[in-house]
Amino acid sequence: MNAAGLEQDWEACRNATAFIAVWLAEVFIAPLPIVAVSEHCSTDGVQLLEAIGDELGCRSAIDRMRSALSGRAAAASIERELSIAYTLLFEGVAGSATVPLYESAYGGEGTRLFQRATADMESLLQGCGLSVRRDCCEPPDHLSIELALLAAVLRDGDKPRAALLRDRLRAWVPEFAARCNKADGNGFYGGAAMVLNGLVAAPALDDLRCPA
Amino acid sequence: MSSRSFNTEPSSQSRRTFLTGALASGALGLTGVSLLTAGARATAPAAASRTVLTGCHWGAFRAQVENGRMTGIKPWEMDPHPSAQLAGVLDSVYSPTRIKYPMVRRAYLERGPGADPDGRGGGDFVRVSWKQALDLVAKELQRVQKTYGPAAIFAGSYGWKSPGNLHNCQSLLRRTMNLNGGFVNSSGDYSTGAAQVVLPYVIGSIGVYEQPTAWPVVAANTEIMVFWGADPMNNCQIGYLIADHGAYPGLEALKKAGKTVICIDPLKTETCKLLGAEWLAPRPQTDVAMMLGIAHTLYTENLHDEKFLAKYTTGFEQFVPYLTGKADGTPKSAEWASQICDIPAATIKDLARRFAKHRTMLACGYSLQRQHHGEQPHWMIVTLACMLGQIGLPGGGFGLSYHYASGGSPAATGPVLSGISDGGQTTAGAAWLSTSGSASIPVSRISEMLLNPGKPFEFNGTKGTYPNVKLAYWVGGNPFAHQQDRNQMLKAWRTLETFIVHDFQWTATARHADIVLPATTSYERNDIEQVGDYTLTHIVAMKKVIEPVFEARNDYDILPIFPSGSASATNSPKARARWTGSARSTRRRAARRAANSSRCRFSMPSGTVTMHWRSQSRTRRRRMYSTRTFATIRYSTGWAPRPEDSRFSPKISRKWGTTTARPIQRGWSPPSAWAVPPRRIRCTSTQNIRNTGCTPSSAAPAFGRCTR
Repeated sequence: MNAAGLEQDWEACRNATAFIAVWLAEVFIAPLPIVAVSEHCSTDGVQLLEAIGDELGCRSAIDRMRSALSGRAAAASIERELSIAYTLLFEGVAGSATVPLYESAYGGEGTRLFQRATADMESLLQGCGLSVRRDCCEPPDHLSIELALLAAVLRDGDKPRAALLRDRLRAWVPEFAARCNKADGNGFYGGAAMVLNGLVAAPALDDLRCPA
Repeated sequence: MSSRSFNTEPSSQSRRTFLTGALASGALGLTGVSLLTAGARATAPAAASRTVLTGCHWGAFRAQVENGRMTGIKPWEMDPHPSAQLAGVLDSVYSPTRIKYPMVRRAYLERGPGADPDGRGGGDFVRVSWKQALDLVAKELQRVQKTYGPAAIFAGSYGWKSPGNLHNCQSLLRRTMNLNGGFVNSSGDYSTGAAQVVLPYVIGSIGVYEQPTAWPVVAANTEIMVFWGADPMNNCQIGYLIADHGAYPGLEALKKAGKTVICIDPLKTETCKLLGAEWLAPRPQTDVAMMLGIAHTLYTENLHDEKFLAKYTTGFEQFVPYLTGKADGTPKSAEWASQICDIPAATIKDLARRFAKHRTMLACGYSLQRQHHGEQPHWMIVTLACMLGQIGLPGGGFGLSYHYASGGSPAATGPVLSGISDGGQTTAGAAWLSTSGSASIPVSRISEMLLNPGKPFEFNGTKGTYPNVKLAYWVGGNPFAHQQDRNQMLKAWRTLETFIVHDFQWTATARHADIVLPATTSYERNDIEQVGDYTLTHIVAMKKVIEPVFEARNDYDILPIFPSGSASATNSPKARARWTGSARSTRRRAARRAANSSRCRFSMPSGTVTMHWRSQSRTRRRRMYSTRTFATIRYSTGWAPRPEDSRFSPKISRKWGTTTARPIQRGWSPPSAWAVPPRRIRCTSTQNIRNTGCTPSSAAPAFGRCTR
């Protein structure tokens, strides 16, 4: 295959990876609304989920997510269960059992939020000419914001920044995924965390240097 | 040959194409709206690095801020004994358990007030907007008020909140409830629930929140210091205002003076260990028996002070028959007491003899009275002190607050800041005891009230009827931590139709609420507070350290919730005018004080200034430099103006030894312009010295200062 073809493949790969990052960002930013739940349960949605599983080599994690979405009478019921799970896992209601969605909580400075990672991500965003949307009150080291930035730089083909974000995510996502998996082993979010783990370990993120 | 590690097979390519197109088609319900936006966020640029002075229950401190984040805490340099707990402030602000957004319990949101009360505590909350949350609260307050009346709303809201005179969330809540037409308040507190009720009948005042004999006097004159159920080493880390930690120099002085210290406590306390005290461990809740045993020995061995009892007390003649057993056939002897409290009779007798022979200070803690018949321990310890006849003698008598908020630390005579009012009257020394509200229940009877509406109850010689409460509103407190009998409490809470909570943490109380509103911490807002519950030595302008995190709002901004059924009511100009009417004047007064204090150079405990003064009128300015005024300056700051920058009158300069004497200058220089070498300031007024226990011969007191 020639260089142009390789570049085309690389573009397809990073765009696909960017899509997965965007999807995971929306999964973890808030409980899924009923529209999104319905889409996940639809035939097209199932196909997409399977494609994601194949792309990242994490079909088992996808299957876990699907099992949490299946076997229910109505999307409203699933939406309610996912919302309860999300709130208890991530919103702090569960006290010390909370699984924080912020890089700061995994930086070795205890579980405090708004640590150095917040400032680092702020700088990264500024470097990309971006900022967190005004109506989003989350600090920039929120998992979803980091994934959104990853998607943006991948789509832009900004390899150096993509590599930076890759390294950041690889430093803390495995621990986050492990905690989430432990807290929600058979659930939707436990599965999503394992998919996330697969994303940050994806081959597409391994090779961010210029094509050979 | 490609060195790429990703799969380039046709199936992979078609899959990637499939995935890439999914976003554009809105697959999986993806909105396609990015969390990011182009351009920098339009926020005010934060200074890269700065230090902010503020305070908390654990003391004053300087917060280090870098790029808008609090990154470190350094105790205030004038704090004589910073608390190790201060480091936890950072954890509280940045905890993963911060309440981030307004949340409503799902069942309540979907089915309204009273829905699924058993579901409270399950954690099934739905995030809502502030507008929706405030509308819910406003409409519910209106509904309950109209349907059941003001006595259906409980806003006693007991708790320790945060320091700060403007953002006093409990006053703000009660203020709102008063404007709403009334509410049920709570009276008393958990700390001294029994003692504070009985002591006015015993000594004529609340006692437990009153300044005891100052530590310098104790260190100089007390021969036996008795800590009875009191552990100042542990408890004086905190204060209801900003803790001054004045107890610790006092304890050190006591230790240095080599006084005999006896700790009577089931536990060997930190105070006991520090002072190398004698430790007597009675059975828990048998203190009254032990005190009676001591009293019996005093009486039978004629060691009690008859003259003192005759002149200063009444009722001893009624007490004696009980003490001697003439009334009930049971003498309350040391032997009798020993069987109850498990302290040897010989020890009890020995205590009586030693107390009588030596100048004895009985420092009683609050723990003794948290039991059935809790009014008895404090009543009895006062009786014991009266029998010893040393009340009023230097270093003798009793003190009920050595273990709380550094009671005993010499007090200042600076101004006392007023705070935002809730319309009721507060008790001196206990700002949380407010009389505001239409009705009131004793604070810990909330479960009983909820479970027994209409039932009569008795309290402190009065009779009342429990109201039928349907809505409880809680701010700055966590009753699910401090209320007794959790099972009864859960049962009681099921009777509520609505439970509203403001907090910054997901406490157990917040988890059991229907509507949860995220409040700021005191580090995310501007406020003003004093240092030292008893000493009031300094005023701190509690400057905002960081911007509010997530969607937290100040209670002050949340609480003008005026029910009108209109979605805009909470922010209507009229509503805010009603709310801020007198609040504005309070705020302006507080702001003026803060501003005046900086102009007057006395407000900031920066190490270079000492004392706050209210105004800078020329007349007052002259007075500021009078001898009397200088007598009020706290020694321990070691403040003195630079001689070359003297603002002293010639008279003061001669007296205080400044090298130059110039007329008082007009205008002000900023505090940063003053470089101050530490120097001692001598008290000049013997009257002042006596009040604090300083002796004329002391070069300067190690702490505290002369007062007027």
